[in-house]
Amino acid sequence: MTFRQNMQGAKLVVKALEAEGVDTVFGYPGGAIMPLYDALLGSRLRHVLVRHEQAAALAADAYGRVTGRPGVCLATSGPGATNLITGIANAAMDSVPMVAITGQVASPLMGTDAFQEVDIYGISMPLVKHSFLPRNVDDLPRVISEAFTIARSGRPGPVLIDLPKDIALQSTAEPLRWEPSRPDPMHRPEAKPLSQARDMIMRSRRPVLYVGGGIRIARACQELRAFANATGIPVVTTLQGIGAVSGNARLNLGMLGMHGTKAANYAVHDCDLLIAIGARFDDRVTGKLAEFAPEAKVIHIDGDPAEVGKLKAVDCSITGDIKVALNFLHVQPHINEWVETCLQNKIDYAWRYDAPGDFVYAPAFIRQLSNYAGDDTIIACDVGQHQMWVAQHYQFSTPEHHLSSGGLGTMGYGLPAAIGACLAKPEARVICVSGDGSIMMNIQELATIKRYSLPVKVVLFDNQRLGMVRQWQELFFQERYSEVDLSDNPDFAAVANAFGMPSMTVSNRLEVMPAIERLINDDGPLFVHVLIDPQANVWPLVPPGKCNAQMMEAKVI
Amino acid sequence: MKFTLRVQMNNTEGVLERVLGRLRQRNFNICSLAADSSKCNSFMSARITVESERPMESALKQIGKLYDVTEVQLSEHETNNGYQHYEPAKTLEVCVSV
Ligand SMILES: Cc1ncc(C[n+]2csc(CCOP(=O)(O)OP(=O)(O)O)c2C)c(N)n1
Repeated sequence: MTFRQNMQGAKLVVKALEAEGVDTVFGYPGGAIMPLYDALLGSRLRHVLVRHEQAAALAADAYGRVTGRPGVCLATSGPGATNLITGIANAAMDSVPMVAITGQVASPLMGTDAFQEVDIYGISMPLVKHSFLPRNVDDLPRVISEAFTIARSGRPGPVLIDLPKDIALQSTAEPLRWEPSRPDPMHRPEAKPLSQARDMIMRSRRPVLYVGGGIRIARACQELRAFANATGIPVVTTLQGIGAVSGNARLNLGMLGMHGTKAANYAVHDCDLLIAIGARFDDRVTGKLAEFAPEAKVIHIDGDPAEVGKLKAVDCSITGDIKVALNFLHVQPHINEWVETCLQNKIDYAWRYDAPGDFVYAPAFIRQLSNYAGDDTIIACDVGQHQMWVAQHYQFSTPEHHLSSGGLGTMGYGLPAAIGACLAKPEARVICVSGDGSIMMNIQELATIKRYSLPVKVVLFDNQRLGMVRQWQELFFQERYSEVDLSDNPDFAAVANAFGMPSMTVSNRLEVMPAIERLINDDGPLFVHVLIDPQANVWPLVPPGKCNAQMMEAKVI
Repeated sequence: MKFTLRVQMNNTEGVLERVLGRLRQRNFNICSLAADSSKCNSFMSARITVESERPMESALKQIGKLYDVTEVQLSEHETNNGYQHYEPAKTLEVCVSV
């Protein structure tokens, strides 16, 4: 493709985004990015006006997770750009493809403390995969296409383009050629470690697959499931790995780690071979690292060589295309006894939903929702206890339908993520599951839901506390509660109504099913305010610094 | 442990800052640095000595991941009995841009 001569930089950026196949951008205008907003008029791009730039970046993150293509967000210089930072960090931590474009003050003013000048190029450096500061309009076609290539290649991540205002206003002197982005293909894994891995699997008696977000990134669910079925090896997943095998699959032992299932944590603790696939041995997963899978040899399969051996020494490392690797490993180890043990644990330690008391039991609500909602539902979580309850009790059929801020743990992710998901996959039902702390971090996005008539549903679990922090203060700070009380919350149902969103309140168990029916059947948006026990905790729990086999549980009353 | 890296990069805006920042953030303390750009100004090379408890491979891999870094090599490292030099400097195969 060629851009004609005499085209303004801003126009060129918009045309290049269109040519990249971008259909939606999330953003907020301001002085330094005005040329780009001017060029948006009449373009094919759908611009979604959020009400805080953080939400633009977080919505773009969700868009990237759902589609696998970079989500795009725009902001002006200075405060607009700094407001994007949390969302960029969120994408970096969970390896989500994103292209963020910030307006910058005009080149001659850069470095002079000009109005709304911040060094976003410098500020974002530790967070981005790469960044660009175009100094000439002729660079723009290359910059856009490289930005998309980098965001999508290898281990995906955010890329920043800081666009000075004068460059956006400059016109091209001559026609410019433009090549679309072309993500570098993953290299084929080497043959030697692959055959070594086959031998190790064949010789193992107690193997476990430890599966992370790399499966979503590589879009390798099918290959993973075929591999798990062929070998018959039990599977545990990380928060980002949830859905990689279906929630109700026989061999799925659930999530491992701090709030993992007993069956998953015991399996990893007792295994003799740990096969890590697209997972990075995060501290929330491993607990005390020295006692994580203490008896196991380790095979690590990952797209990013820098992850292999980063925290845990491995016996066999396979880097490159995960799909190719998995397809090569179909062997049949003799592990019947071990599988029996794992499945018996799964039965013995199955979740129970018969909680005492009258309060609505959030885990039971979530499981009911999961039972009725069907596969075409995306859940966008906020951060806290409710997020862990979703991870534990909702059964996902694919990882793209579970949007959860894992690496960064960003309170406020839920509503923007639901917006991003709704626009990325309009045919899906999108439900934001939030807490009374988290929802206030981006509550203004109810206005975005209204403006675009998005059928986003919200389930707000209201414990009138910063529940997760309260739980830690109870357990690890001798019940010294510090700044976790939210009992003066606003009237959430009225807040929703004020943004034009119908609402209902659920305060006892009899009201749960009618609420779930409406969540499933209502066509438009709905805000369900659920009152739960302020003292409720997430169980089991591996205390910080302890080994995963030492899980704390609810006191039986 | 102390060790010395040789890094070849495209001389793009802030590339040295990127390399040094990545090392600092990953807990590699910079002890000495010499860097120069090529005559044509399109490339830059640096010799960086760092000290850290973290494994050397991790520094090599993390720097190797940077988009504008074209090559990272290990040129020497401390051992229990003095320094081990590599001539030519050693390239790790795993240092690919992803
Ligand atoms: C932006 C941000 N600030 C602070 C935290 C620390 N934090 C983690 S969970 C939590 C409490 C969340 O409360 P709420 O949203 O009500 O959820 P609950 O745990 O009660 O379900 C806090 C403060 C965070 N993760 N993110």
